[in-house]
Amino acid sequence: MASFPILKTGAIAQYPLERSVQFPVQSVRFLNGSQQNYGLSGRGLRKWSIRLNLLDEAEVAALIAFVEEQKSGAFDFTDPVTGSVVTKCVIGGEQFRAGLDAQQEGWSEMKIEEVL
Amino acid sequence: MNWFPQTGAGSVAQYPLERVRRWRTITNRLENGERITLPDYGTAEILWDLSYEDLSDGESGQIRGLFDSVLGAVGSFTFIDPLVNLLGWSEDLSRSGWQRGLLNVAAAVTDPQGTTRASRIANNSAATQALAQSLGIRGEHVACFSAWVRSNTISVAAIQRDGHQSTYAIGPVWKRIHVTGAGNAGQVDSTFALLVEPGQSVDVWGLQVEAQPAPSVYKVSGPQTGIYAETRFASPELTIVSTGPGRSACRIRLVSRVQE
Repeated sequence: MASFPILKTGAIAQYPLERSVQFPVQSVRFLNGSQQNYGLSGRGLRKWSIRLNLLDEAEVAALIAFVEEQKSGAFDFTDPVTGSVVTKCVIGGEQFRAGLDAQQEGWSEMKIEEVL
Repeated sequence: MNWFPQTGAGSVAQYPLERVRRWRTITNRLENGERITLPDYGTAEILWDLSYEDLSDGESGQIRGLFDSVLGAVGSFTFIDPLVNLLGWSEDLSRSGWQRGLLNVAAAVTDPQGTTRASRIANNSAATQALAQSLGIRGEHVACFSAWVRSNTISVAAIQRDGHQSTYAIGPVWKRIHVTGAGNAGQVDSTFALLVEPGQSVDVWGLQVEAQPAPSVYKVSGPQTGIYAETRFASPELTIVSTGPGRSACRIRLVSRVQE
């Protein structure tokens, strides 16, 4: 399974790093206004919003090559905070943005989502 | 076939530029949160946001001419990705896109970065052999083909695009060599080759082709990509601003269909 490319510094993400976890739940709302939630999975699914700045062209190209190869497929992603490898992740939002503002000033934006 | 023009300097784009890769997936979300996704083929596209400044009248005229000839957002043309290495499998010379002739190719050779991603190509035949790859770049387009090479003995390395060749003295120290410029006018393809003389053995790494006049930092590549024959203007309107005598600026959005 493919792995998410790391930067030349060895980092996976930069600040600010937005991350969230969501537990699948089914909610039933009753006539009296109360609500009961049923957990559908024993663990939460994580998401990361990765914005990278000040990349060089090789780093931008590596991310582009990774996305071109991966598209909607699953890959390994190392949680930038815990360092643990999350084995089944996909690129969220069905898009990947990248650009160059100047030499050595590349950037990219993508969402990584863990799936069951 | 129409092509998106290069500027007079030979580049496809100026800073800043933005590339948005989009695709669509068919997704089933199950009750327990499990997600089953399938690629929705035929919907992938790349959106380009290109900004140009200080274009000469000739350069802005070429863009305007293309816009006229494709009737704005109606017709398509070929656009070359300015952000990627156009060669396929730049570090796997055993792949089918490479033409090796009678060369012996050995992988896992130490490269200039201290890893083992280089290859050793040896010519044990009696004639000059070429390590080559053909790309769908028309002859009029400026391109730069570059590679890092070294040899255990002092020798000469020749690198060429079609018939246009540059030669370099090489030795045990890694050296980046390149050939740049347009190819043969009228040709729809270009062949980029590293020539190896009889009896010569050369270590090679970082093979790269890009649509610009000089080599940029090396980018490793996978399957060949970056030449998008089905590109169109995203808007039916093109605005070019004259910023001074003989100087123009414009912002262009393109949409490339990606074949999957």
